[in-house]
Amino acid sequence: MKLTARKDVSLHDDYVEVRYRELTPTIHQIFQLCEDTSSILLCEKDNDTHKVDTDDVFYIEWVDRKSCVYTKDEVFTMPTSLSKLEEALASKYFVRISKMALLNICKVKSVSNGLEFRLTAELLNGEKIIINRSYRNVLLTAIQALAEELAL
Amino acid sequence: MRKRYSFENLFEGNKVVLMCILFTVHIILETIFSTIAGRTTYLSMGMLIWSLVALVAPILPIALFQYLWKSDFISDKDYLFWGAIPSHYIISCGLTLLFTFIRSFFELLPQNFYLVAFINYTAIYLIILIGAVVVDLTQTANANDNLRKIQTHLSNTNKKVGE
Repeated sequence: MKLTARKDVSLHDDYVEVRYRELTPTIHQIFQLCEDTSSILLCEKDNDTHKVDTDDVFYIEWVDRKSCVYTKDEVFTMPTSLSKLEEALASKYFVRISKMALLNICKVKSVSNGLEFRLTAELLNGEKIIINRSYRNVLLTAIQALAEELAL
Repeated sequence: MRKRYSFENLFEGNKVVLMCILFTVHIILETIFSTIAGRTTYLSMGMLIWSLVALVAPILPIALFQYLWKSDFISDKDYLFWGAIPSHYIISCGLTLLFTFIRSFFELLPQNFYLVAFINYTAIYLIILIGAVVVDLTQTANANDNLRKIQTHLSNTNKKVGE
């Protein structure tokens, strides 16, 4: 099977086209993978609904009974509770860094020791996040686990 | 992101509580050893009370901080300023020295009592602080190493897909 992939930054949404001679189990698996919507979050911004890919999310914070979804330079909201999001995004490398926030560890550029033994995480967009002492080991363990998972 | 502090978080993993427990044990043992060595003939009740104050003293500033923060009296910036100075150490040490000062009105203390108290207090605090910092720095260095590898791996994967 030949695979052709092209990066096109002008696309509004990701686009996948599958050409096949007959519907084999492998092709069917590809369909299932593409139809899997668990990596999409339906968020709101300015009274409009937006699809946000979890790969674009930096962190999610629970504020005023709403989950605020932070991407590189935008903020969306969604009514889903943080605990439900934590369950749904557990396989997407999101870890809880406080009672009010989830962090995508793929978006962490570096970590440094903060004041009072807290941890400061610098994200790829330059934003800095404070992690409480009690969640410090959770983040460090998750980073270690991801590194081992990717067999680095 | 707005930082949120809770009463449990201030206590959890806080070295100051461990420091106070060790300090209390240290004072009690020192009193017992002094008795055995014949330097004193009885276990000083005053010293035991003093050590208990050292144990309880940090609870007050932590509770005070929490109360003030809840009432939004101090902002995050102020908290960081106080955090940068090891507030627990300064306030709890100050309170124990103040208690020593008050005690001096009621009983005769050795001339170097303040110095001994300060040195004992500071020594234990520093030992725990240095140990904690070394552990933290090692963990952070390992995490940064892993993060660099993860980012390199992810960017390489993106390049391959782009090709």
